[in-house]
Amino acid sequence: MNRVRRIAERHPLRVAAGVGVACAVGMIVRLLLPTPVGLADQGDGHRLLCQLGLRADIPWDASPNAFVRFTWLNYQFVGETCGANGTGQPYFSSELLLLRIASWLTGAFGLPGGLDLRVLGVVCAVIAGIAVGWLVAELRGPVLGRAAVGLATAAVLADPGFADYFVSAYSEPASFLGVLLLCPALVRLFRERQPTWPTLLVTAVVAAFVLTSKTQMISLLPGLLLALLLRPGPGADLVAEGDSRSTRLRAAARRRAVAVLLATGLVWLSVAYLAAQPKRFSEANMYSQVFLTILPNSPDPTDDLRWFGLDPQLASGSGKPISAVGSAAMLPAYTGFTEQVTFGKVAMFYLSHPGRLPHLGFAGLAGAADFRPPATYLANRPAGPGQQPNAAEHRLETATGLFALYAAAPGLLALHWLVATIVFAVAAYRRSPIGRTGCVVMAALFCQFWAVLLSEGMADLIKHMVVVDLLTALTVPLGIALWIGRRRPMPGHTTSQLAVRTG
Amino acid sequence: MMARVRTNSPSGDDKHWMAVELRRVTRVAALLGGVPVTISMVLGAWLIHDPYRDAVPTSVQNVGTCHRFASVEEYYNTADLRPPVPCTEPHQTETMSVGTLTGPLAQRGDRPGLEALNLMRNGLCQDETAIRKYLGAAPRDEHGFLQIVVRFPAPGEWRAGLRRYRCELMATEPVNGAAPVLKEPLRNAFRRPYGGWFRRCAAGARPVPCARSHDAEFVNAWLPVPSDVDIEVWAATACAPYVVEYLGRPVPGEYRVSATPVAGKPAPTAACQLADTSGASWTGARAGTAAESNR
Repeated sequence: MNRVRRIAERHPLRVAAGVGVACAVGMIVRLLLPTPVGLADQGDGHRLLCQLGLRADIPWDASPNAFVRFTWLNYQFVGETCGANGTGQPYFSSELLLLRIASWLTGAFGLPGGLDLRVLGVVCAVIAGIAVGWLVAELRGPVLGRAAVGLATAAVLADPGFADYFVSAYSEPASFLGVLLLCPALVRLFRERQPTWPTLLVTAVVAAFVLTSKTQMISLLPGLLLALLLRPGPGADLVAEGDSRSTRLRAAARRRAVAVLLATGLVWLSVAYLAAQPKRFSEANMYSQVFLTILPNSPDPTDDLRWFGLDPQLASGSGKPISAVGSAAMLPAYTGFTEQVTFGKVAMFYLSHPGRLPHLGFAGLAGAADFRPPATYLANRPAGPGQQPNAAEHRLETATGLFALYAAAPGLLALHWLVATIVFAVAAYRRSPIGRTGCVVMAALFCQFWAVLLSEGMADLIKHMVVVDLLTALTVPLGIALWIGRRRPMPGHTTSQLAVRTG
Repeated sequence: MMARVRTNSPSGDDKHWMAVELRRVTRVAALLGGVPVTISMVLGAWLIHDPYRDAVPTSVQNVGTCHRFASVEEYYNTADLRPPVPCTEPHQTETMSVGTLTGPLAQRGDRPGLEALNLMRNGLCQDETAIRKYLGAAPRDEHGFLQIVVRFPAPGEWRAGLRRYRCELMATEPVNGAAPVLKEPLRNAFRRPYGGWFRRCAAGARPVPCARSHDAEFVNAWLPVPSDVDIEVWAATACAPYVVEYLGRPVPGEYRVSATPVAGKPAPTAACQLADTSGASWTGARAGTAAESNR
């Protein structure tokens, strides 16, 4: 054992690469053998893949979510058939990049159709391996301990609640991989005393990838901006002793010029991304917020409708989904709903009705804790002889075990978040890069949690909370990393952030 | 340690410093502005097809145009801008009639939401006379196995003032797991053998197209049934004129006039039929207007 440890300590990068390769191969095996698994499409996949000229290879009268369909056929959609929920409004996501690569590889491997989702699974597994290997390389502490952190991260990702998304037509894989890549990028950003150009740029690129994966991922922006802006950037040379205050300020500004510009770029990108999102999504989200979240839990639904400037007759649509029979969207009084109800107005509603927030928060907590309910409506297995529809798979249920505990007592999940926040905050105060990374993760988690509740609300809550669940699960390997790295202070912890220019 | 001397006017060092800063800011701005824009454009073109590239305006898709599609999403779609295909080739829908939208929703500058359009859709294209006329159905021809699909203008067309909707006919039976197919034009289909696929017959209690094996043919006559009567005895008299009209001649000896109860009506109702006396099955319709008789 000691010999292994000595060899590992001599070749930390090889160990990191080995862990990354093991993670990638393990993920491929986990997804494809003995039988391939994935996640069935409940209809959202079409809006993404149709833009690549692909359609699901599914029988006309078959339920789309009863089985996983790996093959997507080349097909040219025309007009508004392609886009957000039959509106023709384009749906942008960085997931398109992964899907295009997988589509190209599907052809290169000679597989039938325009895209085989199993190829996407392999692409995602490779990127996950790179992220885990990179994380191991960025950590400090005993090499075997770092490897253990990498394997723990891989184990989290291998849970069916996360891994099955890699073989699916959803945009979550880009969110998951983006979050995963952010961890080593942030550790490096926080570890360097003066982050270099490449570090800042790579962090910004990964941030851009994750922010544009899904609309709700914009909620990660505040944490990422703080991460970029709190670190002094390159060109930090150099303040002479006795220099005036203005000179010092100018030097400080120069040190953060790159970070400010990158942060501005991320803000610009986020605003542009939000502006480019389909209007139909906003309408559907606001409908869910009002008719599936606020009104069903309201003591006086008509009063709430009046608060929003809506016709009280719409109260009959309370609890009914937008496309269901009896939906408020089918009433004449619904006209003007999209102009009256905006995200800002919903936020104002909760601010003026603070008593509603605890109930919403508890419901969100329960939704996040549920993670992977036993009876799923989205199948994990492909059609085959004797295969039951809507069948779930149960390989490597690592996070599922933890969340089963939280589902039984959602308060424990809140306790998990509280403990993680305190631990990471204390570590961050002590200038630990892992602690600071953990703080960004927790900020992202809380912003994501409330972004889901204030946008889609209670509609399909368990699925929408999956990124919150991933961030929660990632606190475990980050916590281990904090523990194994606690004995070795990082360079520059005790030195001043202002370097002294020497002549 | 370097010392810096400052004066009121920029020194050479300061000018140099400013030039360096300017270059740096320019470089960063170029990176932040130019590179993402270029990458976005290249990626955008590489990633996403333009779905409107091959679109054909609703306004030129008239009665008798046929449309082909393969996915359920296209079936549910509000507007169909796919280029028409010849109706003699396999297709999914055929435009039976067109109309102009009226009412408060039609006055809106932007196309109403999907749910409002669905509500509007319910009242459109239900003109039974127009359907029968398009199919070339005689009064006693009973059609079935067809559904109505309503298409609205695309959002851009709506904003431009177009309020024209299309009523389309589509078959109901999927073919080997694929979308239902129409192989010939539906216009005057009941005057051709192809109409047998949309004429209602029965195999036992199961409705089937007359182009399939069946043991009774409906004659588009649904009559109220008096209480406490034997339906077969009653039908022999009550339905006979309709069956004769359907056949265009007296009922031959190998056939009999029959009726089957219709469920879901407020009063007891029966649908008149032509059936075989021996209970045997056959393929193709016996109707006088049909050209598909092949017993």
